[in-house]
Amino acid sequence: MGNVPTKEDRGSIGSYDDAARRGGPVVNSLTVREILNPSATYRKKKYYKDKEGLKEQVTKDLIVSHEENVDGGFLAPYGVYTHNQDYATAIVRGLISERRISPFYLPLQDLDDDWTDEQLIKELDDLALHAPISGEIEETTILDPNSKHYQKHLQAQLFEKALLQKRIALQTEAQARYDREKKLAYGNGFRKENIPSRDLLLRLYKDATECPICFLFYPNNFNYTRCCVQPICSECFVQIKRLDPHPPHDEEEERNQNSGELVVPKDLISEPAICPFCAMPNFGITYTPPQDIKTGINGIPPCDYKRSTTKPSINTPGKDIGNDDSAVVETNDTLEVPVKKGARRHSLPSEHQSVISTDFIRPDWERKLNSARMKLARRSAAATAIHASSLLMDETGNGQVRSSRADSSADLEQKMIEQALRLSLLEEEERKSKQNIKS
Amino acid sequence: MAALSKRIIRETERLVSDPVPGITAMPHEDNLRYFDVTIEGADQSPYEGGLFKLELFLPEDYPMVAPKVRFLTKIYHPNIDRLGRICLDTLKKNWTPAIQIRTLLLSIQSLLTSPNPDDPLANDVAECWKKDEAGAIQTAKEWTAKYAKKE
Ligand SMILES: [Zn+2]
Ligand SMILES: [Zn+2]
Repeated sequence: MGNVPTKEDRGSIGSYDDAARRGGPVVNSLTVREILNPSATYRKKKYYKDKEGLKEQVTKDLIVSHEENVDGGFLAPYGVYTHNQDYATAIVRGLISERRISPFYLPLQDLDDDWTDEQLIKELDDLALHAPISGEIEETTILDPNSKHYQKHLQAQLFEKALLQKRIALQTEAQARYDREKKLAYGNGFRKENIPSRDLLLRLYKDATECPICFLFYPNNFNYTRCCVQPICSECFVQIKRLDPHPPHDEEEERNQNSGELVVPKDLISEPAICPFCAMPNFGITYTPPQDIKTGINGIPPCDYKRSTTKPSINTPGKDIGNDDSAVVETNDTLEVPVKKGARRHSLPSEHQSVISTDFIRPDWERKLNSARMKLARRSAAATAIHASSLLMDETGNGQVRSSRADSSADLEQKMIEQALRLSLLEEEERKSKQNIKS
Repeated sequence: MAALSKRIIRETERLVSDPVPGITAMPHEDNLRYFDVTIEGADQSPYEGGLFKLELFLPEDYPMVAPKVRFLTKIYHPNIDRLGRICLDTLKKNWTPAIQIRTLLLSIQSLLTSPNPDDPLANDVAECWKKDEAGAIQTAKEWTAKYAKKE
């Protein structure tokens, strides 16, 4: 551990490279540990702390609180999905507040056209703010007390457990506040600002419509896909993301897993998500808020909403955006959902200012790709290092170094340097993309 | 295991009440995410007259990820390997959450009618298919008669 690299050392890596090309005695000055993980020692601790802080914030962001409402919906999802809640919660909350994507509405499992207003109100009244949260951590791996990462993993597990407990407690509290205020408002006629008026609930849920992906019923102001103008609820939209970084072909991955052969790190790819309906690359959506409702954040209190006597205008996605005649309608005969009357009739390019892409709400995809490449680079550096040291040992044991052998070991040294270099470049990229996320 | 989503319940109801011709899919009573599937080999294909058993499992994050499907009946096909694994884009990079179980099973059914030896999973079978198509089709027919007989 004598050669713990400092920031200054990393800056001088170019000179290692020069020395290597001149054939200087460089390898001896770099320990295998340094090659494998040059800057981890001084950075890791701080990084973990930040990560825990971020996770705590995300946990809070995923609580549905009735005080945080927009047009009768909320800033956090109901919990239709229990996985993939790894979108940037802060960004999505911002987008909902700005009415650039549909708020998270409470879903109705069913909707019967024959229901009276009273029945509909009763159904809505019975809805909780969030689906039940399971208190069990999924697939807790049994830790081996003899493993050298035991302490770290144990700590991480305890942290996850505590976080989940906290989430359950916070959501239970939020529900209790909601129930209390609802009782006061509906039962006793008190004015409770954040309890929606009956008019608002009926306006929203009278023409509730099924989302074509989760099959749940939501108020009919959906997001619409930029390409084929299909409705999608926000709960489903935030689930859609790039595939995890992978080699260009799936088969390659399998082959490499079997043979232990390594993929070149820079070959790992991660493509933008495709549209679930028409498979167009660079998936994105647009949203046009209802014209006759502006309640909650940046609007009037939802308790004050009164239904106007004139018929509410139907949600018209893209009514005032992208009136670009050159845009093309994507037709697709597999579509099962008819385009809503008054809907935007044409597709929008992914760069259009009103389009929210899946990458926009998961800006860490680049960091993820870089760290996957890092991991792979470390693995291949380790493989080379082990190979190199076994060759060097062989030579010293032999006593006589044949020239061809010396050449090949010089090659290996060169390889190790190159890998160390590549690694530090990747780390630098990783560091930068982490910084971008924080700022 | 999380509670079944409304989507899975609806899809299951429809698969049972309004089945696709030539395809059956029944959930296990003790695990509603696990389906027994059968697909009939299409007429005019080497699999004609065969009834192929498959298993289908819906992972917890279905429909955001594709179902896991595997042939249980032995089948001679360039895109299906010895373990019954299927090489089909719809199951991998072309999966989207708008695709339903019935659509997926339909595309597996049509894979049986149009084998694609240029994108093989079973390399040996694909080789034969390319070198001697008539021979390969003959083998596929024999395997169908031998392993996929209707009871
Ligand atoms: Zn949905
Ligand atoms: Zn589309």
